[in-house]
Amino acid sequence: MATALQACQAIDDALRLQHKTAEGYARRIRAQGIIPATQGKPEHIASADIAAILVATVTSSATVVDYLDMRPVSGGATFGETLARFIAKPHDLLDLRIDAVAPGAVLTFRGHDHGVRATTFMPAESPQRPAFSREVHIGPDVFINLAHAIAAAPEVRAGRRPLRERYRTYETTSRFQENQ
Amino acid sequence: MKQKTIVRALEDADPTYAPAKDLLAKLKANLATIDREDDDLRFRLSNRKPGAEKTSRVAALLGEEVDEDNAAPNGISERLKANASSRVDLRAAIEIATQRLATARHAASKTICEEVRKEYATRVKAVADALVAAHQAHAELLELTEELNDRDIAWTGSLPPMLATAIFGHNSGRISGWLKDAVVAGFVDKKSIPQELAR
Repeated sequence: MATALQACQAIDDALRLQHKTAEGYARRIRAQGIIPATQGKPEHIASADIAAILVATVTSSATVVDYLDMRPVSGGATFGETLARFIAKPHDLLDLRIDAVAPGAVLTFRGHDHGVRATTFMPAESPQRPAFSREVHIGPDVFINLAHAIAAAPEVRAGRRPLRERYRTYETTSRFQENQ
Repeated sequence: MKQKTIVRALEDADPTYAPAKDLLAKLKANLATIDREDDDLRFRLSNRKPGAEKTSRVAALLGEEVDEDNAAPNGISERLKANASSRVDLRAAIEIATQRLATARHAASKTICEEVRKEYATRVKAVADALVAAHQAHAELLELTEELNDRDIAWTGSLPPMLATAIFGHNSGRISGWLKDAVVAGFVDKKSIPQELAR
């Protein structure tokens, strides 16, 4: 599992964005209290929080609550919960299309019967939306790369480094969390 | 002259794709129309002049022109209600149409991928052959520079070093990694890879 910082770096790598892009959005939504602040404590980040950061990054906005609270038209779990599940286990995800200018998303995945299932997420009440539309398509490779990066993130520890590591080379010492 | 492979459009590969796409576009356009109308109605509702109770009959008695909003004070609300119910139906229809489009897209994609598979494999094989040839050419260049080095010749001044180690990787490690992936995917026969590039 990854810390918040490692998850942000993994999102940048998976989406091929510039360094620290996702971190900037994470800081903005953390300021709103959407994801928890664990400054100085390298705690594992929950999938739901990674989902919030991902949505903020791909929609280039910090107003993610409307997105995360969307429900499928036919009923079911919210978009945030569904996305969090697929971030943790991405192997059945086929395609994700997020409307970047107003809440809305279409999630395509492999269903229980191994057929293609598409779920349309829409907000409960229709907001005023601009006359143009912009859709972000995210393929399965992004989610698979992201899940691998999160699973393979090296453990970080808080506090000072062990004294015995003074005599080790830099490469063999334990990794420390940088400032968030 | 290389033959151009035609990748068919999704519409050609699956007859159900084009109608499903058109239907979804039409439903989305309808939803957008309703949303626009709602915006307009809400704007009119919030900007309505005072004296909304003056109906058309009263206005006619007064000999005044009938204001459309004031003529039927409940017209806007009723229209909003009607729009809300048709939005519920449209959303359900969009959900089903999206499902149909996704099914058609994946079915058509599978057909097209099967058609293109042979050409894809040919091109991957061509890349593999070119990479092996490039590796051998590079090895010959390295052989020459090593001989120059062995004889203690100061060659780098007059012959600018053009070693491509950064591209090929140490001991052509990048090429051998790519070739291994191609072997695992079944595009390249393992026996056709030279010993020094085999992993």
